[in-house]
Amino acid sequence: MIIALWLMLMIAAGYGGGMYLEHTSVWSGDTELVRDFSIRSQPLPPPESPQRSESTAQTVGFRELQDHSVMFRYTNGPNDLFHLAETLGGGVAAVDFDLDTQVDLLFVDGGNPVEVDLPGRSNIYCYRNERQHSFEEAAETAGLNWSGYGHGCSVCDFNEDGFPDVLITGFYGCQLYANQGDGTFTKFGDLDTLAGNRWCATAAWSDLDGDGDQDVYITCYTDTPAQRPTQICEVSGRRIHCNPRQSNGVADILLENLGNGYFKDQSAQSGIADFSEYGLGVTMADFDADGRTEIFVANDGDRNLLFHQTAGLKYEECAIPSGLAYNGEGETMGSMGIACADFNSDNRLDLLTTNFINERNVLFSNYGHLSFVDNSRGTATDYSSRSQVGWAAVPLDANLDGLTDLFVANGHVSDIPSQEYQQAPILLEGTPDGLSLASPAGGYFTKKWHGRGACRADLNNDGRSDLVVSHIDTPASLLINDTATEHQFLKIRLIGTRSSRAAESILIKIETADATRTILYGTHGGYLSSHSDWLIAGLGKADSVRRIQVFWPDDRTQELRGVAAGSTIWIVEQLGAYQQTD
Amino acid sequence: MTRLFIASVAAIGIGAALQAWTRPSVEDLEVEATIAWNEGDEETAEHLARAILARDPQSQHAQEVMQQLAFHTPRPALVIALEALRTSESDAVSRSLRIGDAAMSQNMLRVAESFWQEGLKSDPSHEGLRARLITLAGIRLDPQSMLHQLLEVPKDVALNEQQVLLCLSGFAIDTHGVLPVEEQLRWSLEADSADMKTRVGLARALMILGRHSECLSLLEDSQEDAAAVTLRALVRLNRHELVADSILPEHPPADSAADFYQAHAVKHSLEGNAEAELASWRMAVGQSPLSSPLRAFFCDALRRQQKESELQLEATRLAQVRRIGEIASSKDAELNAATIALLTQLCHAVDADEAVELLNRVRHSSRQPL
Repeated sequence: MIIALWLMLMIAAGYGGGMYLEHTSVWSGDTELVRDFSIRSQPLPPPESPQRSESTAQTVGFRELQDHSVMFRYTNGPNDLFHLAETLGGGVAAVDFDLDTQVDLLFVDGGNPVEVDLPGRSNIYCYRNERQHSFEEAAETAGLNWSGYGHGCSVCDFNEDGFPDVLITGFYGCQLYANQGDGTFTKFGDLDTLAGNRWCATAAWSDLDGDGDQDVYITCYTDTPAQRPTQICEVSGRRIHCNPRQSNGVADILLENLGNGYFKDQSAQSGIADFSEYGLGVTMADFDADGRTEIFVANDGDRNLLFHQTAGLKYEECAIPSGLAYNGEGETMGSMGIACADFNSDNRLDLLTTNFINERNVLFSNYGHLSFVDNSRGTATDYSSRSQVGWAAVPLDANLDGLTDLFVANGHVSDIPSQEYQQAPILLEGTPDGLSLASPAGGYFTKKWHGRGACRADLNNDGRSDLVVSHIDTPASLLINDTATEHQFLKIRLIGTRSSRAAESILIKIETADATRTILYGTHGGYLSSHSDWLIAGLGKADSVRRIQVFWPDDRTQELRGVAAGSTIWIVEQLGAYQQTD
Repeated sequence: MTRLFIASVAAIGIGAALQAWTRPSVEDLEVEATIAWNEGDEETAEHLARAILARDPQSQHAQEVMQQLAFHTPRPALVIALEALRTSESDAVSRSLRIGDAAMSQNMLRVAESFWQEGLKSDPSHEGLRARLITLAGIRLDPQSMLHQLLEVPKDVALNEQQVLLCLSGFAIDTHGVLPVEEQLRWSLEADSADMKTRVGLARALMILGRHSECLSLLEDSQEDAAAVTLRALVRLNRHELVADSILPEHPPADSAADFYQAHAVKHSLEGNAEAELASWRMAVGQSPLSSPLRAFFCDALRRQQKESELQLEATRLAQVRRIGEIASSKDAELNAATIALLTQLCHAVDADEAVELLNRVRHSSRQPL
């Protein structure tokens, strides 16, 4: 009996063991994998957002001029149109067009991009500087009358007569005005016909073929038609301007000055027309000191271009091997404006591009031999600009310490939820360690604007660079530099004799007891604008300049010695320097 | 007693057999699992599916339930293990490939790499496996590893031209962009935080992006890995935190020698030892001659020290390296005879001997006249 019970118990144990085994014997391939590879998951902290560092500079100050009669405001179109042309805004040119030693101002207006050439409307605004800070509207008397939808104004002297001429660029074409030397302008030549009805943005002039007159490069944006947009673009239910990439990019234009007031389209022959990008900003300089002028173009949402002259007006594009095509992360940027100057005091010209929101302004340091490196990541240039849409960038030495400072005009293209429509401008101060965020340099910098074009000029002839900024829908601002400093300045104007009189893109080296500075002479504003042709160089505490070297074309260097600080001089090619006295 | 023992064992056996005879069949369990799944009882459904798979690993029904479970609650290891089940009857190479692919789809880079490498051991000429490993090295921002893997391809196997181009373009990090891979590396590291190569890759991306604090915290507990230790020292040096010699490995780690010499260069720069700095930059560039960021840093050092003649030479080489990156990453790039010749010339000019060897192999294998 006991044995039978025992065996029954064993049978039950066998049954139970089977059940246990069945219950526990489950597939566990995933657990084994986790064990074999020692896999453990662990969330990472969220990515950092760029930090603003404390500002270090406190010396630069600008006062917004209130009691002036420059009432210009850029109008970009009706509220409900959302045409792409409305996003670019307009530029400003600082030019002494009547040669009375006072800097006059020229602005170009937009209007309505689908109703251009309205009779009776002129989109050029000209303000004659009567005396310090007093301006008089003079477009009508100056004969500047153009009804196109305007963007840019660039100053040149295309006919080498010593009187500054003006090229107006805009949506659907451009117009060249010749200065007649009596305070009036007249429409001139065939440049407008050659440009056709392309959407022209920024123009830059320089003697590219070395024949003694100025040729012109004009950036062209897209092939967007001059009609009410058919496509509606929205963000969070709010209508915005559509992305420019919904239109095609257009090839830029290179026009050779034939010396008789007429031009020849060299876009195709030069190789420029091989690139149909979204051109906005342009500047020209001899970046590799080989005696030939390169052309740098900022493209919106496409890679930037660098044209290196191979022979005559023939160019090879080399932005990628030069390191200028993309930012340091290898990304294309929505590039608008350009500033060209020696930002790191190594006597080479660096390039800065202003870019779209959530990108950053990028400073490409020049290492020579057309080799540039974006080492601005994580710097003040970077973190000051990530939440801004940047346009004109103006290099200047505001505090005359011999280091290049930088002004950037900002403002969004559309009113997008959670992003600022109007945006504060940026002022970075040059330091021995690079550009650093300056303390608010005056009331203008604490307010928000729809900034677009900007230029530098000495509006009150006090030897300091002032700023003029064009805004969309609000009046332009004239910012007088009232930085408290004991630093000295040197004010220079170049006049070519053997080479082009306007002396665009000429390098100047200024040597004091403390330092040698390399400065680019010229009026290229980088974005729709033209700087004054009077260059102001900061000398720091030096009371004299040991040596000035001017690097004219064809490897001809002109040297001047022993110039006193605080001087205002003309340097005339082959002839020498002439001091201006009041 | 012996008889009793035998009888007892027999009785247990009878009990077990009885249990096996009366237990529900696989088909019954599949029905139960389906009912549980349809009723939303995921726990029971999973348990039943696992029980089925233990008895019949090829049960489509159970695999389906487990697949659904893996889909509903992301469980990377489950997806990979299921693929291993599904491919258990395939040949070793295609099994490794498919399991690796499943791991890659779950961002488990280390697991994927392990399976692909296993497959490659079985078939060293397998182009698909090689391509995957090269792409993986690219994602981890490790072009040197890409290059070495290509050089390991048996001599009698033709090199894939696209892989060669991908490898050459991988060196041009500053013209390639790290932002797109940053996100993928982040996901991968979250899924498998023991993946040291991915950790170093993400840290490198963050260093390139200038997010130094984030980079350092990522490498904080990685004292055992020489590459991580070296990179951490480099980032600290870049933040102007002078790093004691003992923090850097004594010898250059095999897979991050360029970082090692770069760290020494930055350290010498902080100490004001100009000649030693340049010597370290030369070593760093020698380790990774196609790296445009490294060459750019080297140029910067030469510029600071006003070594004009060497700067001219190095600036030219920097432009040549960028040109290589431009050609290799071009949308329309193809390795025809002219491109191979140009790339070879450029690589030769910048002393990138391994890349020259690679291009020579492409040239010989494609038998294109130069």
